[in-house]
Amino acid sequence: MQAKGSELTYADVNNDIVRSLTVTTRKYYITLAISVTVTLGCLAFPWFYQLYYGIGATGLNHPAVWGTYLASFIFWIGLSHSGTLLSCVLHITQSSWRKAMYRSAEAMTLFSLMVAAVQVFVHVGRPWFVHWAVPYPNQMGLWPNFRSPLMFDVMAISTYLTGSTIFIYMGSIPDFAAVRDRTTGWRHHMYRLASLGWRGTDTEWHRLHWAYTFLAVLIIPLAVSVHSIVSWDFAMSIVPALHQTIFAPYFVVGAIYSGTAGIVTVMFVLRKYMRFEQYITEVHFDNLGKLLLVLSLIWSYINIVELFTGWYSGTSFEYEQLEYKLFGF
Amino acid sequence: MNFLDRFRDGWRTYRKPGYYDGYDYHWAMTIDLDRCTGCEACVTACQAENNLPIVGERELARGREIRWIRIERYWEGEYPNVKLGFIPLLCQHCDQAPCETVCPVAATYHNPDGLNAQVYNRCIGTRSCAVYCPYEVRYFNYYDHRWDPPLEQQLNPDVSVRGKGVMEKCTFCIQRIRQAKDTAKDEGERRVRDGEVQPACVQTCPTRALTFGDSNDPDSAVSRKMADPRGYKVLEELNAHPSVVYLKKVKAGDAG
Amino acid sequence: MANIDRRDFLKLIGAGGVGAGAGFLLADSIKHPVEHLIPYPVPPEEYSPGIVTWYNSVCGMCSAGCGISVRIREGRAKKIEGNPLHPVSQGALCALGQAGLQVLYNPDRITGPLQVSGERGAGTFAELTWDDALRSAAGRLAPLVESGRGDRVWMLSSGGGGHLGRLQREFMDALGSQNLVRYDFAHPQTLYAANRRFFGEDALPYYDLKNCDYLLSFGADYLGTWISPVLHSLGFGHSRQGTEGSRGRFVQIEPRLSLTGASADEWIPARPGTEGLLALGLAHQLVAGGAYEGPDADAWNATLASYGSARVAAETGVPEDTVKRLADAFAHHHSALAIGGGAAASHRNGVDTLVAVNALNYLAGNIGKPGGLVFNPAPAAGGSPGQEGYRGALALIEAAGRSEVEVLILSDANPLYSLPAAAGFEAALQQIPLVLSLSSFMDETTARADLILPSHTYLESWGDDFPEPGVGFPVGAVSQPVVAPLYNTRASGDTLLALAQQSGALLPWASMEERVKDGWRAIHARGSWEDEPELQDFDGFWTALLESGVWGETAHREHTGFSPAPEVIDGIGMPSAEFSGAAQSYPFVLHPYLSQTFNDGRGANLPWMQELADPMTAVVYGCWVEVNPKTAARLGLSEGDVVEVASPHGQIRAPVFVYPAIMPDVVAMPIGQGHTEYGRYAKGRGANPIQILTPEMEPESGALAWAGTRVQLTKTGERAKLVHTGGESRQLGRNIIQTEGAGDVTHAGGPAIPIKVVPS
Ligand SMILES: Nc1nc2c(c(=O)[nH]1)N[C@H]1C(S)=C(S)[C@@H](COP(=O)(O)OP(=O)(O)OC[C@H]3O[C@@H](n4cnc5c(=O)[nH]c(N)nc54)[C@H](O)[C@@H]3O)O[C@H]1N2
Ligand SMILES: Nc1nc2c(c(=O)[nH]1)N[C@H]1C(S)=C(S)[C@@H](COP(=O)(O)OP(=O)(O)OC[C@H]3O[C@@H](n4cnc5c(=O)[nH]c(N)nc54)[C@H](O)[C@@H]3O)O[C@H]1N2
Ligand code: SF4
Ligand code: SF4
Ligand code: SF4
Ligand code: SF4
Ligand code: SF4
Repeated sequence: MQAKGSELTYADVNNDIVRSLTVTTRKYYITLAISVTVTLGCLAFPWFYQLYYGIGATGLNHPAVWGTYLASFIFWIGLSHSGTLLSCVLHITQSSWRKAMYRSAEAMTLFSLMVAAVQVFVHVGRPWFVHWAVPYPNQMGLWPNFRSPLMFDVMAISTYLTGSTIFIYMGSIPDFAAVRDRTTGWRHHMYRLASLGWRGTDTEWHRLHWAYTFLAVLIIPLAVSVHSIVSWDFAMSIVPALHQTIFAPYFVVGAIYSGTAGIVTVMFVLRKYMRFEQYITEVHFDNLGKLLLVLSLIWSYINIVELFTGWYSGTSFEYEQLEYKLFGF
Repeated sequence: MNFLDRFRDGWRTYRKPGYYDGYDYHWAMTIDLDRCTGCEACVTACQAENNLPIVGERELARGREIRWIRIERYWEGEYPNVKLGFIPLLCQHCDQAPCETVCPVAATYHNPDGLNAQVYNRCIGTRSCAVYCPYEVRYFNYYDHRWDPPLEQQLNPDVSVRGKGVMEKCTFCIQRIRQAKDTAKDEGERRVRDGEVQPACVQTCPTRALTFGDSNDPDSAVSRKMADPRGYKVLEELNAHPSVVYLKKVKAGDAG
Repeated sequence: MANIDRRDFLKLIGAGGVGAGAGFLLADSIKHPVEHLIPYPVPPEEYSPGIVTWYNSVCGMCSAGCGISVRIREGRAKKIEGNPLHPVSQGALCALGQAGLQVLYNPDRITGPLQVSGERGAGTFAELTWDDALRSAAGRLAPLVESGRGDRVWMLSSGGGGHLGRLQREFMDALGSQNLVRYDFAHPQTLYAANRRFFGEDALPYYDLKNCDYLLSFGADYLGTWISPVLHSLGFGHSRQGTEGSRGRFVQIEPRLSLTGASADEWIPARPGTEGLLALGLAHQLVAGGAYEGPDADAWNATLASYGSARVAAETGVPEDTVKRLADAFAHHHSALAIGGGAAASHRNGVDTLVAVNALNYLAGNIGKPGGLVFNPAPAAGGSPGQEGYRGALALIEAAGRSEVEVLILSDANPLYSLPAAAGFEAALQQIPLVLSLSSFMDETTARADLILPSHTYLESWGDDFPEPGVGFPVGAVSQPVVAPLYNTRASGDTLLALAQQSGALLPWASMEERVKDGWRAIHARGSWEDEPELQDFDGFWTALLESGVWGETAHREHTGFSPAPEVIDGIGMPSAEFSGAAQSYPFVLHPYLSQTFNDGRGANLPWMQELADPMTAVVYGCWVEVNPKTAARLGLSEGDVVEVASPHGQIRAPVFVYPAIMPDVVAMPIGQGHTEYGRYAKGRGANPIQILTPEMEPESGALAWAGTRVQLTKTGERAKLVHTGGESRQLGRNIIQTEGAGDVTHAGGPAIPIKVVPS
């Protein structure tokens, strides 16, 4: 039931959103089937194969012991960044065009983080013991190594995941209530629980807004710190070309850059295939485009600084690394 | 003392340089590059002593060697003024080991004898230690390795065979150190004598380029060699405080 | 005597020796008894689980005869280490020696007697019992012995010192055959011949590297593969950094940089085959400069007159001032020593080259001096076994061609691999009705045998060894079984004794153990044991011997001013090396070399050795052709390009390795790969350069002139990946290998010989 004309009522909005939840087309099932097949074929089967034979199933070797899995972990963590961060920033700056995209952006964060978590399992040699990297009280009195940047990583990412989850959840409470009011059966029950008895009173709106803003302010530095910490996995090693102080801003900017691009991509898909042209307009793309431009400039600058630092260090092994990075030999 | 104080104290003690000097032993090695001929007897000795797997040609082609001590070779110059230098590289048992810092589960840690120990059972295989080790002496088990029977009958029962997914590296032949310490303890709580522990590589080296011992004992052979003016540490500027001291190769001039 | 540090032995001997008093190694070892001395094949109560026992024995991986201690737990051999009491190895071992365990536990061992079933050489065998196998073999030997045609039985062995070698001779004598041929590719046969000619000694001297402060090596890879690498490495290490205030200087002359060359202070590439010329050039400098003042100086002057530095420089390719500088340094060092071997000694002028090296030592006064060349006293158990060598192998081939060989017994010999194809052994083998192999492994020749009587490995057998070269005093070591035999195999000595008995050629011993003991009774008898009553009786001596694994006498040989006969001096000269193949069509000299990891190919079936990086190229599991970078560029070759290496006698294929340290007109190949049999690790891997060598021999010694082949390279267009280990071959400014100048290092002694360098 498409909204007609240019006048959108709140009821129209609600109906449109609920429609995407209740009406299941064949396209959906086809997409689902494809996704499941792809997940089984590209994740489950290869992963079991790798568990059985060992990490040797990858192309990793000595000294390139880190490879695609870790790169992909970083990629997904990076991608996760923009979602919540952008939503927070736009919320605080009260940008009016935020509304149309923040939810998808935040969802992207959650899903990216989950995909990133999968990378951890796929990456380590003995994933069945990966819980040892989590601090939990145990008989042996054995704790993880809190000096390890990898440990910082575990902490930072789980904090970000928790923060993002609460943030998206909180913002969704009124929406859950709206869905609750328009659905029946199990959906109704589910959304009733999720909406925590939201009635939409002024007091409720006021408190939600206050809590939401509080979280938004909290999450901004968190996002910056998380990816700084991820960068330390590399920067804290003493490997030539990785051991650089620029790494933290480099990673943060890179993450926001790719995350924003991720949002643009998601928005494009939603607009096109969910027929949300009314909500996601060219203004959004235009604004995000400007943001991307600024980010790309900062990112290019940092890239140049990175190369420059290597060159300026005057040490031969930095040169060699540089040469290898730039020219491949 | 409350927990925080204990923690702070522990931290301070641990960070203090020379922390390990307070312990009974600090095992160290010297490698005389003026003696070493690159013959690789040490490499095979280590492989025999420490149950290093036979990884096979295919895996070697993929760069997955496992060699706790290896010889690096560096060419210099052009024919006919070519020089080839050999240097044995093994875990340097750094007192400020980057590999220990990065391990999230503390599977690699410093033991009170100054050894960089590796607990295979605890390792989850993140391979971060291998990235962090500036000497590239950590080796990962990409597969479960097999020994064509009856080759497995040779395996040393004092050393565990590592399974897939764990990291391994030179242990300074910790099983031999343990044995010597046990013997010393049985013989009236005496100290391990100089020369009583010889890692497999040191034991076999035909040029006697390698010397091993306790650097806490100022009279040990290794302490004396460490004081040699030719001594240097590889990549010393990284400040990892290796326990392996190399003695410079002497470059003879044309005359004489 | 007993409190003398054994490591100082050599010094003592060199410095003039210590008084007599036999068996002091033994007596010393008794002071610190090891826990177990009874070999393994005794009741199982002998070992307790978890308790380590060590057995002393002898390394059987090459002919150097290093002493080993084998660590046994629960009846299994776990580790081989050097026996610190043994004066050759002094506790050290080489990589191949370390890998001996993989001979014992090799998955490809022959587990019991086999008889060919079907076509010979088709590789199909049927198992049979020892009784049947021995009966079958004896059934062919006995009629020959009875009819007095025992000489139609030939034995080809790789040599082997000690009493196994003697037993082989005794066995053949009992059959009535003179035809024992000992051929070992790596045997320094030309060196024996040169010593015979120059010194009148059919033996190897002890080269006192330990006390030498200047060593000129003409092609001998003494730290890698030459004669006794562990002994030489110990000496090298000591000379380099073992003495305060003195550092030995090492110069290596060879067309391709070897492991030894890399460790030397200076590498001098000289044209292949001209090494002897260079030695004479140096000798000329010494004599003409008046440095040599012996009574025969005039004779030397006359014989060396034509070896002026200009000629030598022109022919060897070594710059003239280098020639002079070397001569000067050689004369000025207190303890200078020259040695020769490897490819330099394996040209058709090999003996002349080594005689020239001997002459150089003589002129510099290095004979019988510490840091020089010390002749050993007569070995404890008779003279060195010697080798019939390549000449003997050719005689066997000829006899087979004339159908005069009825039975060929192969003991530890693999002629199909270690003889050039052009020598014609393969065809000869067809002519021999019965081929018996006593090998532990299915090597190329054993695969063509009719009957295989598999032998124990050295870690399961009795034996002994009298190291050659000695260490300046008589030494012997007993090799004892350290584990119970794994399979249904027999020690080759026991097999020979059983064959002899069943063929009616009686020998007085029931087992190899008895043969060895019998030999040692004689050694025991000649000692005097007043000071060591516990050794007085043979059983006590034997027990102590097994415990220490080694026996030595402090006797050494007095140096009685040696001088060569005038005709020897007159006879010194350097015929130029001849090469098979014309330089136009075969532009490169092929420089085959013994591999550090496989030796002459025997190590190729050991996975540890296959996985051990070649010390120079870091290649594993491979075989390659080394080409100078300029030559490679000229021929458009890069690493991994498969080339056909063709000599006038055949061709093989191997990938190119661009090797920075080889002369532009020389190509080198490691020996050791290219097995067509020999187990899963060796089979079908790389190429064997011995196959395409010229079948010529060095005339004086009868050795194979294996360095005298020219080849051409043809690019095939195929590519093969050479697997390397290790990392970057450049230091990238990281200063990993640091060096310091030798300016402040002084030499212990002043100049021994004042010398003026002759201007030319
Ligand atoms: N690979 C291998 N496995 C083996 C063996 C081997 O040799 N090798 N040996 C086997 C043998 S013989 C044995 S006995 C078993 C031992 O196996 P377990 O009984 O599992 O032995 P532990 O790990 O020593 O102790 C178990 C737990 O008891 C806790 N504990 C200590 N004191 C107390 C206490 O006062 N109260 C309580 N409730 N808990 C306490 C410890 O913290 C520890 O977590 O292992 C068997 N498994
Ligand atoms: N430090 C320390 N001490 C302990 C314990 C501990 O956890 N730590 N645990 C205690 C406990 S619970 C126990 S049960 C005891 C166990 O103490 P022990 O019985 O001494 O146990 P292990 O050292 O496991 O095994 C003894 C030896 O048996 C050998 N062996 C293996 N298989 C066989 C076989 O088939 N036949 C024979 N004959 N020998 C074999 C092994 O090589 C080993 O050397 O230790 C006790 N002491
Ligand atoms: S055994 Fe000794 S000489 Fe040989 S490579 Fe090792 S350290 Fe060098
Ligand atoms: S050398 Fe490498 S593995 Fe060894 S302690 Fe140092 S950092 Fe760790
Ligand atoms: S690979 Fe193992 S030892 Fe290394 S950092 Fe990871 S868990 Fe620690
Ligand atoms: S000390 Fe032991 S573990 Fe380390 S390299 Fe030497 S033999 Fe191997
Ligand atoms: S030199 Fe020969 S005898 Fe000595 S350890 Fe090596 S292989 Fe064995």
